[in-house]
Amino acid sequence: MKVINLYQEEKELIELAVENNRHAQQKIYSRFAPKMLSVCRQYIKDLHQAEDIMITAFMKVFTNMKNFEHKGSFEGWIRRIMVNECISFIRAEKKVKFIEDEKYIEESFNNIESQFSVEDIQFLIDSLPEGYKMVFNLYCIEGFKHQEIAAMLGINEGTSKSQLSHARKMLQDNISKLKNYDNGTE
Amino acid sequence: MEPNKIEKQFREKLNTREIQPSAQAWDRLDAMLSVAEEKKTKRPFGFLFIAASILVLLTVGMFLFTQKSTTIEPQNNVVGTEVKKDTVENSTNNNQTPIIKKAVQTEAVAAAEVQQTTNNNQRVSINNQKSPNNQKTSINQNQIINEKVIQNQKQEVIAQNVTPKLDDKKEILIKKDINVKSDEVLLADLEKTSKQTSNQKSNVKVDAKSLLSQVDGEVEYTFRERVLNKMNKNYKEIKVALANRNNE
Repeated sequence: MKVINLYQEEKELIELAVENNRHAQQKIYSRFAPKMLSVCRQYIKDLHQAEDIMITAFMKVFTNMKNFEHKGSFEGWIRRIMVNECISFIRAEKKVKFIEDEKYIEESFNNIESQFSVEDIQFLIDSLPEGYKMVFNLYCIEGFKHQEIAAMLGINEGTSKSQLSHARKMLQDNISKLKNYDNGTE
Repeated sequence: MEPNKIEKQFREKLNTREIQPSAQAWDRLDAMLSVAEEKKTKRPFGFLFIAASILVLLTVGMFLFTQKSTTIEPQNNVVGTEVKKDTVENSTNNNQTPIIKKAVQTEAVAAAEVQQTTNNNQRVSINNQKSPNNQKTSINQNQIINEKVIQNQKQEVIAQNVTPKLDDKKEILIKKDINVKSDEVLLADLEKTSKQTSNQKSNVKVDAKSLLSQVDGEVEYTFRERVLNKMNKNYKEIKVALANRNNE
């Protein structure tokens, strides 16, 4: 019952927000902003810049609200807009060039059982180069397929795969470094 | 290659993470939204305004065009009548001398107004006396010019006498001189005629013009002159005041 109520409430809120009801827009914003800022922060290291991107993405959310068909989840739709905004920002600002190499090593992670704090995870992701970071985020966190990532970034599917393998390799190295550092201090 | 445990942990932890945006973030978004709203709401009004302004301009333009056509016609008529009047006046001035005499009288009157001490008869007599003098001087000038012409002719005769003694080349040169001299003679003749005509005509014309201008000036220029004089006075006063201020 509660879920249905929430869904109904969300639908009503969306309908109001489409009509530029500022109160409804604020409700939607305050419900999703913290999560969406977290998403933006995944891609953009600077928190202020991440917030700017989140605001412009929310602008797009509200201006394109009438195009939202109630098929998927509303949160997923917003999240997709956020991710697209982040990617287009990074590609415009940082001018990331993907090296078109089709070679990638099918190498699995050592299944490290250790637990990481969110800050550590963010630190590890931040330490990746922009290209690796985007592909890693899109593949491992957002759950896109290589085909989708290739289309989003305008690269070959093979490049996406090789970028991911490079990212994983680098992450593993960084994790071992972090662990050694932790062990050293203990 | 499936995401492994570490990546699962990454995803779960990152997806549950929440970062509270700054307080200003909503204000900024709110401002952006209201700007976007204004743009959207203004658009239909903008179209209406454009349409209305075009209509207004068209109507005003039409109104002005129709008005112009009516106003131009009377202006043409006025100009036509004025031209006719002028021509009539000119013809009378050119043909008839009595009007000039009248003008002389009016000039005398004007002079009387300016200088009240002199009498009308004296004025006229002075004018009469002056005109013979002018004629005399013109006659003298004519005599002088005639003498000059005679001199030139003498020189030519001398030159012609000299020519047979000299070479052909020199003859040509002298011929040129003769030509030049004949030109000089022509010029002298022209001067003579022009002086005669100018003396004769100026006596009449200058009087008429000055008289007309004086008569007209009393009627028309009084207001203009007053305004101009006032303007000049004020300008000078301002000049003086500025100069004084600058000196101080």
